[in-house]
This record gives sequence, C-alpha cells and structure tokens, in this order.
Amino acid sequence: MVDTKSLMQASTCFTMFNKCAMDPLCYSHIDLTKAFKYVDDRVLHTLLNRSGKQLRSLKLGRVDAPGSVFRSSCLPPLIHYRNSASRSLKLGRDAPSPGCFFTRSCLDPLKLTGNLLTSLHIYFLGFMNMDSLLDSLSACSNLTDLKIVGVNVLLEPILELLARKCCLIEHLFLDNCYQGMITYPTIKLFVTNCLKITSLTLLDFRLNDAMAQILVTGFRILKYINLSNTAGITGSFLRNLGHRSNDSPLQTLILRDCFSLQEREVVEFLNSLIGETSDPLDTLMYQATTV
Amino acid sequence: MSTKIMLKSSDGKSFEIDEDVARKSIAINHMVEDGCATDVIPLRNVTSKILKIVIDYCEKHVKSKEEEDLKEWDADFMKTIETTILFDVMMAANYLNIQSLLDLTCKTVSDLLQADLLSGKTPDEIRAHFNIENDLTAEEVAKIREENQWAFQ
Repeated sequence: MVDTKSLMQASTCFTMFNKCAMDPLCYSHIDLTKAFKYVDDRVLHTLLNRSGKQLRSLKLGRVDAPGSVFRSSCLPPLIHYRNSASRSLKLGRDAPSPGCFFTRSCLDPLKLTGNLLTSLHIYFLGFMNMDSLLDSLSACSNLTDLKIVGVNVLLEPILELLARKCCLIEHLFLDNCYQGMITYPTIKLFVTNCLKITSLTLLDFRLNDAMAQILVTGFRILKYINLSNTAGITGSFLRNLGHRSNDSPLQTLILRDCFSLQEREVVEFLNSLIGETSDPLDTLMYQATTV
Repeated sequence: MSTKIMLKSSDGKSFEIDEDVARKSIAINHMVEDGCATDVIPLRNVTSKILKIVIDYCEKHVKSKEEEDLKEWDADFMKTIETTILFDVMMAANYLNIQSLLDLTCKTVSDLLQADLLSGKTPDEIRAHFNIENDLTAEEVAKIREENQWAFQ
C-alpha cells in the first residue's frame, strides 16, 4: 500500500488506479506524514470519511521535524554520561513545524471512525486541545500501537485514559516534550490495566526509581523499555530487577541520558545478571541488549 | 500418473498441466468441479506469454510447501517479470482468481509505484513504466487534482 499522498497522485494515471483510490479499503491505512506541508483538518476529515469503517492505522505530522535528529531517541542505544553543564547545551524544545495546518482538535473525526483503529502515530503537531484528544482516543478502544512525539499535551491524562479505555495497547511511545508530571496512582492504574504492553517508551518523563521499578516489573510480558532522558532515576530500581531477570521476558532496557544514573548501580546490576546465569549465551544476550 | 488439464491461451497455444496445478486457480477449480473441463479450457483473456508465467507460479506453489522458501522464490520471481507486463499478470491472476498471485503482483506494483512517485515521475512516465493506457479524460484528471489539491503541490 502506498502512502496516502502517493495514492492521490497515482489516481490520475488511469481509471483502474482512480477506482482503487475511491475504495474505502485504500484508506484503511492513512499515512499523511509525507504530505505534512499541505494537509489540514478538511483534508484529514475527507480522508477519514472515505475510510468509512475501514480505518485501521493513521499517521499524521512531520516525522523529520527540525531538531528531531538530535534527540537521543533517534540515536543508537549507548551508555552516555554528561555533566549537568551539558544540559544547557541541549537543543531547545521543538516549536510547532512551519506549515503544520492542523487545528488543535484535528483528531475529532476519530470519535466516529476510530473504533477499529489499531495504530495511531502523531508527530510534531504542536499544541493540541487536551479534551479533544482524550475524547478522540476514548473512541479507539482497539488501539494496540500509540506513538505521540513532539505534541505539547499533558501525557498523564493519556496514560490514565489508556488504562481506562484502551486496555489492548501493546506498543506505547510517548515523548513528554511538554514536561508534564506523572503520579503514582496513574502509573499503578496503567500497569494494572494495560496487561498487553510489550514495548514501552517514555521519554523525558519525571520518574523516580520507585516509579521506574513499578513500570519495569509490573508488566508481565514487557520485552522492551526505554526510559531515556529521565532525570530522576539513580538506578536503584535495577537492584530488584537484577535478581529476577531469569523470570522476566525483558530483553531490552535503554536508559540513555539519564543524568542522575549512578554507575555503581549499573555495575552491580550487570554483575547480578552475570552471576545469575550459568549459560554463557544467556549472559551474552543480557549484556548485549542491556545498556 | 496424475490427471492432466489442457489450457488454451487467447492466442491459441495449448498448455497441458497437472490438475492440482490448474486448481490453484479458483476459477478453473470451479470448472473442474462442475464438470465443465472435459476437453480444453479456453482462456480468452490470457495470452500465452502471461499464461506461462502464471503456470510457473502455480507449479512452484504446488510443489513447495516451505513458507520461507516460497517467500524468497516469490521475490525473485517478481524480479524476472518485466514491469511492462506486470499489469497483465495482475489481471490474469484476478481473472483466474489466484489470490496469492494477485496479492503478490499488487504488492510489487505498489512498491514500484511508490518508488516512481518518490522519484518525481509524472503520470505519463508512470504509464510508460507499466505499459498502461491513459483512459482518463483531461476533465477527469482535473477533477481528481481539484478534489485532492493537497497531494499535488
């Protein structure tokens, strides 16, 4: 399936393509990330209407917004320590991309078309209306894959809503560029209700070690977790993790640019991984995939 | 000795193939089950060149049951087909109701089309690439562009 912009262009080639381009099935996977400069609410609304009941995935916004290439989540996993002075050198928070014409409530049509949506990725849409976003997500009870990058909204209400309305979520990627807080009750509710989480990325969240421990140990089938840019964790949550690694399906743990991370905690964690296993291959796997 | 079925292409060439290979086509399978395939099955919409390709595909997919092996073979097979006849193979797969070949050719066309569009090819260049006729009027094209302005800037 070609992305949605290409689909429109192809529809001028000949009748068969044109007829295909009018079939709702062609709009089951709407990808507007290549057309971010020109699409607006009206365009999105038109396309969602064409999808009818077929909508399964939706991608919006600009994947390669200015500055995004410098964010740690775009770089290969690597243990990397900086002193606090280098924080001031970090690139400023990304402003809404020039040419982004979506309004703050552009996802409202999902209230009608979102019930079979399984995948939603939104990139650098700037500010969005919180209530509108939550109402739209509420309609997507079959969501399994959610990615929100560069969107200035509080993310705690989203985690809470996922726990209440979108329990089937499996892959979650949230980049907290708005620097909102997150609380224990929300984390516990999220861990308790979203039992299918296998991949979790929470960037720039203000988590402490206790919260990190709840997240890392609370999901029974979690395989991948990335808590990069989390300033509040020292690494003490790794102690318990190290002693239960044989029971955990966790394969990848990424803690990049966690400025408060203590080397001692990491060393002890790695030592506990080595000590726990007699099979050299298992040991190698842990070492290779844990940073 | 397995049962043989004779297929005749639109340009009059005959192909004798195993029944289980022919039954890969749901359309032919129905004819066989209905007892309509007593002699020769004429395929008025498929030329011998295209029919040969379709038969090669069906034979491979009858003989081999290895999923990964078939995927690799499919990819290589698609590369051997000139883009100028890809649509003919797709149409034949649709006409003969061979779902897996239809899916495969649609996927191949989709990928090639995406590459063409990303490299900035015009509709005329795309038509030449796939050897297809422009059966849209200028008015129809203008209407499509007007309704989807955002995709043509």
